[in-house]
Amino acid sequence: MHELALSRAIVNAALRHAGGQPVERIHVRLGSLRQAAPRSLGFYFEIVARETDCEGAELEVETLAGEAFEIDWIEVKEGSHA
Amino acid sequence: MHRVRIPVAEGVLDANETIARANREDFDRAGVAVLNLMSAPGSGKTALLERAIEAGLGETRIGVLEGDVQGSLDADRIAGLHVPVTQLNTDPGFGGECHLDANMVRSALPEVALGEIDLLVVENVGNLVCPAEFRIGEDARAMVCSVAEGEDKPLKYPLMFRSCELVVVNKVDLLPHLDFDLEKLRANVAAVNPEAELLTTSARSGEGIEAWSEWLAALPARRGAPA
Repeated sequence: MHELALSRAIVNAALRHAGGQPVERIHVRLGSLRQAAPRSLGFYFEIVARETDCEGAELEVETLAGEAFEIDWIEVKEGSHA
Repeated sequence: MHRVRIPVAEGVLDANETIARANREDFDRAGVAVLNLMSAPGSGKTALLERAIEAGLGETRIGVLEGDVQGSLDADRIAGLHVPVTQLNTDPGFGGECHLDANMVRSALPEVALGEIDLLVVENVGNLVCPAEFRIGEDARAMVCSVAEGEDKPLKYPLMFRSCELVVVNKVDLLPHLDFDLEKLRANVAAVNPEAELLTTSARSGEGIEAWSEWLAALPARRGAPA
């Protein structure tokens, strides 16, 4: 259930790095020892991204062993507007 | 118009960690040790706090921050024992978050009497999954696991058990009525967290409450905060 809060954290971090440009893709690395369900993250992400520069962006969750949970990179559409 | 990749390399929980550090600085400045107390709903966190406060904590002055989705039932119980208590509802209007995070705790700090206490126990929302993810600025983490929950819980919720330095096994007065195997639980806790200390208690019969009270009372000194 805390995936809602985690999705909000992902959106906030992406917006901070995007500098006002529309975000198209977000790549997240998620360790299996975290108890965050990738599908649930995607579901909440879509909701919390609404009406932000992350709206419609693709959330890619790369699952791996261990405790990692980080935003690796984002892709933005450059030159559309500032 | 083209896509540009921007490296982020940032922990998803970094923003929470930053606020947790700010909380920690406030606690350190006030000389208050902070315990994040977690468990499944109904394991007996509040009852154990009541018994410890009744048993007495020596020189240690305790305060409690009660995290709940709704209501002030637990805070009312603690307030009856005449220790400073603050209720923190995660979001009464919206159903509420399933855990406390650093920002929620920060928002409650103006109401916490940090100057009057040496130990702040933050009773988290009852939940074995979500609270484990969010640091709140605590010095130590403890969890309660009641024998009614079964000895398999460390294997099912490893993140919670791994993140706590103390596991309080409560409701041991029920053992004669259950198939619960205490040694199996010990082995399961050790399998996910070999460092964890384990106490057995019954808030009902009073068994083990002395050791639990002593553990709580010693926390400020162990963390180097002035008692």
